[in-house]
Amino acid sequence: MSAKANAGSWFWWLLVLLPPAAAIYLLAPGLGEFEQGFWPEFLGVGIRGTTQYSVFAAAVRFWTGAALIVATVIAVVSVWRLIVTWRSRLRALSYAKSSHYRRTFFFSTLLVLLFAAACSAIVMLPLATSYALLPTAAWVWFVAFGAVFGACQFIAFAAAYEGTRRLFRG
Amino acid sequence: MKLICIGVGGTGAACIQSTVHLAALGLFPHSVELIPIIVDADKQHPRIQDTARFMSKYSRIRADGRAATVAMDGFLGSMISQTSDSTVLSPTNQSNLFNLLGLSDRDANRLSRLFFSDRETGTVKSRDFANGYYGRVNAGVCFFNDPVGRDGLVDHLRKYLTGGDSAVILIGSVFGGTGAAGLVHIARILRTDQDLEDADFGVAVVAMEPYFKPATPTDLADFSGLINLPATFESRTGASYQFLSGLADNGALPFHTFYPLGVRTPAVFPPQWFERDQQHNPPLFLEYVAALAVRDFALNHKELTRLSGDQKPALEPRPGRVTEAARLSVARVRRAAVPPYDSGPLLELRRHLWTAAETFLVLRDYVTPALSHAQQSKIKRLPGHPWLADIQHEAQIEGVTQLSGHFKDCQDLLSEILLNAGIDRDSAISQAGSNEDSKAKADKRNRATRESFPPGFCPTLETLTPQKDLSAGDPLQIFDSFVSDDRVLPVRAAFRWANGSLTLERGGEHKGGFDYQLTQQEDMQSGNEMGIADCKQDDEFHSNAMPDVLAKLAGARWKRPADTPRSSSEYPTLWAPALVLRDSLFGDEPEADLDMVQLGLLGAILVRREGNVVPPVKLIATQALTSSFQDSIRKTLPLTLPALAGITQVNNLDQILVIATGDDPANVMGFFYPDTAVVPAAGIAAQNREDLIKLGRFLAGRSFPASLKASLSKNLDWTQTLRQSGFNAGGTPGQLFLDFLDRLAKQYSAVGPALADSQRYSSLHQFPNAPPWIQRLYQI
Repeated sequence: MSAKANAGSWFWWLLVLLPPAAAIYLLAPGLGEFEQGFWPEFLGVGIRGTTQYSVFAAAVRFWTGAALIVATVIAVVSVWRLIVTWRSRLRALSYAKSSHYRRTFFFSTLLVLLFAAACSAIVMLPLATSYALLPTAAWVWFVAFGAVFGACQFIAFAAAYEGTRRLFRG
Repeated sequence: MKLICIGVGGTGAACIQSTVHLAALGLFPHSVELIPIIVDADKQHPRIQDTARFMSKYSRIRADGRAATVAMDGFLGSMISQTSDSTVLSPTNQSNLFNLLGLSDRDANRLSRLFFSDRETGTVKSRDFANGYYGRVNAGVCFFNDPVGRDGLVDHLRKYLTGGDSAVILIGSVFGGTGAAGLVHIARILRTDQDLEDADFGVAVVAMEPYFKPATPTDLADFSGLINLPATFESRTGASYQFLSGLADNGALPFHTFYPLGVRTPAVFPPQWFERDQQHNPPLFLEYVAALAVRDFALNHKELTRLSGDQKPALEPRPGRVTEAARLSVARVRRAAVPPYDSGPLLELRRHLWTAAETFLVLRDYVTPALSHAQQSKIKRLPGHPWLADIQHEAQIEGVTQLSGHFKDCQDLLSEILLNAGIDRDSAISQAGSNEDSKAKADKRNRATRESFPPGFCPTLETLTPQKDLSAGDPLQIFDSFVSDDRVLPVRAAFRWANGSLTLERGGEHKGGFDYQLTQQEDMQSGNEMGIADCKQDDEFHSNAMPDVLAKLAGARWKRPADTPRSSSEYPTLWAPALVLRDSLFGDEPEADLDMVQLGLLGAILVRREGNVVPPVKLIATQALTSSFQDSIRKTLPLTLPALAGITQVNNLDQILVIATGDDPANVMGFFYPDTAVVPAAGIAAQNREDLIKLGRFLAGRSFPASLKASLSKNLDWTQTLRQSGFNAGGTPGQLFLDFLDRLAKQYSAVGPALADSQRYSSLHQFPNAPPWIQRLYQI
């Protein structure tokens, strides 16, 4: 069936690469005014150009990477959980128990957002002592970055995987 | 192939209903085009109406799905051809014998006295047979000879029977009225019709033995007004088998394959369900077995009828074709259903019923509400349920309305199937209305249906859990097998998915022996078991020579209430009085009065009486009779040669030798028949009967039985004469009659001198064309 077996479905998997590509662009050393990456520059506005900056930037790159990996894991697990949850609802073979898929999807996205944010905050704990001087906004941006990245990954995986894409589309 | 499936009478209609239901579920291969027809006088019977409505709905769903002329395997795949005006046919427009037989004509009236009493023939305004034949099988066959109904049936079937690979299967009860009358007769009509002479088709008959009975006593008073008393169901079945066995012996069976079906323990109904015009029996398991017999014939008809390819016999003149059918005939016997139902036709049946139930629940609880939501929301897609968009894409339809209607219709269709099989009890009760009595009756009906099925065979909807039963399937793929070949019938994909996902538990283990799917077992289990060694080894139908099976069935123990003697109404032939007389004279419990009537009648035609120059035998032409009467006389004759029943051929006009003392119908006394030589008329006047008894007693005291036997044993003896005349009934023809004379000779001692030869007529010279065996009666 043409509608069911979409020959171009592999194209959707490219979506999964977009968030990591964006993250790599922001974190890649050698870019930015101080050649430590855009993301460290954005977070460490107050210590840019100091002797501590390069150490700070390396740590930010490392821990941000770790936070994004955790967010990706959360996204993948959430997609898997969405599939399992929905399939179990469908197995009830009752429309009353298997309506509002999109509501479930967006609720899962919100959960991913929250989980990824929480995990990013936890990941930031090692940085807290050494860089206490950073403005509060930097910490917020860090957590938000991890959360948004996780949500994007979740959406990308859901769109790439044919089963969830078909479910979303209806 | 085209399989014409004719249900005769109420039981036949019930079997057609289950057959159509199973065909709708896909139990038949797609190569079979089913043409169901119900022949019954009572067109308004609920089961007939239900069947007609179901078929209309089925056809409409297929037409709406652009599949009206497409044959496919699976649910909704079978071609079930029907037109609204021809699914249910009535054998006749007449409602009484008087008009049917044209009894306002004097000769017709005289002849009718041979076969019926005045009470049976009724009057011009009688409506005794308006809604069926109620066990009066001998009258029923006359109605089946009404050219209106007969030609209508043949006309309707002609296009199917002359169009290539085709076969006919007839289903009906052998213990009731319409079915018992019509089964053999319709087969004979089709096998002997001139217009169908070149058509090449096999004919099978499914005979339903008694499979239900009243709960309490067989108090005959409870059933006043009925001829086919439930207490006589068994004996009627025995009579029917005796009749068929006789046809087999005479090479006169008009069908190739025979499926006898019965149960050892009939279902039990409240006595009220047997009241006249109130019969609306619940569906029972045996009706589904009948559907399996139809399927078996559809799958094996070529082999069973041996009419195809190199084995096809040369077409012979019409009577010969009947003989050919008899020679090639087989009976298909099967064992009764026992668990675990894991092979053969029962597995197919069980799986289809379970799948239907699961699919119904999936549609009711899931698909239909989903589509209803989409319809109300005016959306084309249902997030979370990708099949809706896929179906629309595949079927190339816009919007949800059409799909929603399709699934709703299919849900209704399945609901009817489940109701009929007793699977859906709640709906059965809720549809009965708000009246508590109606609900209680619906509950009883449902219970009767359920209990008729073998244990663990059918699902019960109220306990069914598709979530568990279909757990092997991926619910995302519920419609994934839907392809363009399904046309716009996506429910087929859901049915396939349910069938493939269904984990069917074994139906239990069987302990103990195996029964045949027949009412009687005792007479068959001692010694020769129907001659089929492996019949009980599996669930299939097995072939055996039909005459052997019929002889065994005819000789089985068919219970009869002590106060209900064999009656003409039990035999599907106008000539039933001759068969009843034979049973009585040659049976274990002869009646003294009947013996004397018989002896008196023999004396009336053989012994000179004062004032009579010639024997009181008249020749009545059948030329002026109604077509129904003529055909009833000729076509229901259980003999191959008409001459044997005193029908002479004079100038191509059939004439019947009638024993009568005058031209008044009241003077008709009997007719000639080879088994018993003569037969007292069914409508003989009471005074004439008394006179015959007196004459019989007189002759018994004058050693007439002994002298008659002696004269019949001389030269070309009675047996040889009958054989030369073409009477080849099993055993020694005429021997029973000679034994009867012998019994009378021993039973009645002489009280006076024996009759001199001069006191007997020496010939029937006024009728030189009379058959040789009748002439032989006069040779001293």
